[in-house]
Amino acid sequence: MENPREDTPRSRRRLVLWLLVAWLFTVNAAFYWDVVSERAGEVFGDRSSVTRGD
Amino acid sequence: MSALRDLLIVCGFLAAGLGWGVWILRILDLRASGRLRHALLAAGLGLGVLGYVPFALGLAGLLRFPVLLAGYLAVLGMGAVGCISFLRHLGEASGEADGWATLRRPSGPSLALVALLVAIVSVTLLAALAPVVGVDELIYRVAAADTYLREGQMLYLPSSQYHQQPQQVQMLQMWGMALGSDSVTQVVQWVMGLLLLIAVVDLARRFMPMVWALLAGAMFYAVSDVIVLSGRASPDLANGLFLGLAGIAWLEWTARGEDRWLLVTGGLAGLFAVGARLPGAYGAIGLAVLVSVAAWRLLRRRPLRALAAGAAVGAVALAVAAPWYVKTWIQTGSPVWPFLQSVFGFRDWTPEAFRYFGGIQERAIGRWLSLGRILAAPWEFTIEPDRFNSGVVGPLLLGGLPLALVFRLPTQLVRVLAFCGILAPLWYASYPRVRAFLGPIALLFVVVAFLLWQLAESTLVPRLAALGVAGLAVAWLAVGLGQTVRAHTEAAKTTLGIESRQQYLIDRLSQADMQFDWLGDYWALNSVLPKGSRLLIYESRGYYLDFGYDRYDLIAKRETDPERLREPAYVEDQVRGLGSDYVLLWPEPRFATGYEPSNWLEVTLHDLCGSRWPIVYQSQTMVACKVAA
Repeated sequence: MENPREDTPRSRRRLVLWLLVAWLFTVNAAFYWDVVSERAGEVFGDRSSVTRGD
Repeated sequence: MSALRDLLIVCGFLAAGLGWGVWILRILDLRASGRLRHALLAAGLGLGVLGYVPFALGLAGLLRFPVLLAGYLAVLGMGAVGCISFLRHLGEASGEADGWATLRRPSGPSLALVALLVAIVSVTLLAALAPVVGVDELIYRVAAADTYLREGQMLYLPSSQYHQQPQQVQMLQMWGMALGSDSVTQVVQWVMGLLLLIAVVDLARRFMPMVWALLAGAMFYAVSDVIVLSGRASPDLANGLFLGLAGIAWLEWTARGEDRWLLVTGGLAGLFAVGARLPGAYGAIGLAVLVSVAAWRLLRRRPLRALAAGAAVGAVALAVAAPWYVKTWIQTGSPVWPFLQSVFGFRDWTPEAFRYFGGIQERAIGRWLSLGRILAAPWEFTIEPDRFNSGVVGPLLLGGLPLALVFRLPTQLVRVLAFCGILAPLWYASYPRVRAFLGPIALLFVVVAFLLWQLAESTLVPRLAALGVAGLAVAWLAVGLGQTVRAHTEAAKTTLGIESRQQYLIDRLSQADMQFDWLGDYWALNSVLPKGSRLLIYESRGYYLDFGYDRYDLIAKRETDPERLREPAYVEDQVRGLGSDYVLLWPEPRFATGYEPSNWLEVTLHDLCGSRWPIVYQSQTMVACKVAA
């Protein structure tokens, strides 16, 4: 279902959408890069992060 | 066999809660839009209200097995009548076409998502049925309930700094614990998480095809705090359910304009407030503001009438929470002990000790209210959630929500954004942990699923983008599956009888996220120390001890002349004053706190142990001394 905001010209909408898609993939890439590089051994999330007694 | 009994006990709570909730909604003459939503709202209300039964019994000193069993059967019976009434009037519930019907002939992706959810939910259930583990759980979440049951009443525990804050969900867990094993406390949370999952899918299916609605639910259930807490006794999933349902009740009000929905909204916000300790008040405050604004702008009411609508939500929430504050006032002299003691008078704290305690949040996560942290918070919660002592919420919220700039959201989802938007700053200011925001997060995943669906369907981007979206969703669900395996495999194996309960507890509690090394010592002491002994313990976790106990730093935090904690004779008097028969310490001082008087006390206790006080038990991790008569 196409449901863009009607008051925006189509070309500008397309540009904004591309930027947002780039943002979506950038955030995901940053997240998975961090998971793989920084959390070796904790790839599936750090269990200790939940209920640490605080 | 005990697992089946525990599961049945919780199913009984669910049936009773549903029945009671149906009665409440019927008394208010309210019908939600859709049978399932009606049932979910009823179950949330009913389960929350049920907690007041053991609460009242606890205050009356009636926490005895026969009383709790009789009470359970009574509420179950009354609830059953409500359930039957609900089933009989199923057809009368107002509502739209039921998207759930499409699941009778599911598509391949729908089937895969259902299979994934069933797999994760099954593993978390097996984990919930294992023995109780955790940190907060062993300090007070389950430990305080265990003490209340042992003493037969809800009493003041001066060395437990959190126990006086509202613990409504703990009451339900305590009730189940009295009738079954302590695993019931975890199964209660599992059920709450399952209800929240169903609420997410039920909300989502109103705006998108069923497969995307299922994806919304699966994306939410893949959040690591949801997965971990589904098998644990911390009340965050129950609280997430209460606040999420409060948001849904608010949607009902905005759609229909029936002010009786505000009573439900306020009631659920109140249940969130009494389930989530003191910071949980943010839900009721935010909803009161939101309702006022919505009544003024959306429903075009006069400003005073709009304010009255918001005030009604706040008043109902306060009325729901009031019994807890009154109880705390009676027991401690302050309705919010240990806070505001400068107003109500200090009890078992000195101002200096409380000042140190008051800085606990900042020591845990740093200065989270600085401008830099506030601006970076969305990124930090996504990439480095451990900076907020939180689990992984995933990249799809931060990455996907901005798509709302391009795709027009249905009115109800705009209102969901307003609900989350007004709560977010209050939550961040009060207690910024992912687990304290699970209700709004659940609803945000509905918005994200809608936006991803719109993106996948859009002709403004190539089909490759749709494939990419599917890839991102699959990657996140794979992380969720991995988290499930990582968090719960050992517990699930224990429930299935592959590993013994004792071995599981020993192994699990000594791991890096628990760091509890005294379990074996506790079991040994349970068999060698005289029954009825009272202990003074260094550890903050006293669960799994069969004795009453106080924590050692109680002596330090209420000492007005801390230098005296260096004097053995004085400390010995203080220990005797607490009625302690034995003192449990590590073999060497650990100096684990930054509050110096506690460290001086620790040294003195070590001096006494082995000199004035004979050692009665020693291991690599503990020394226990008998306090000289």
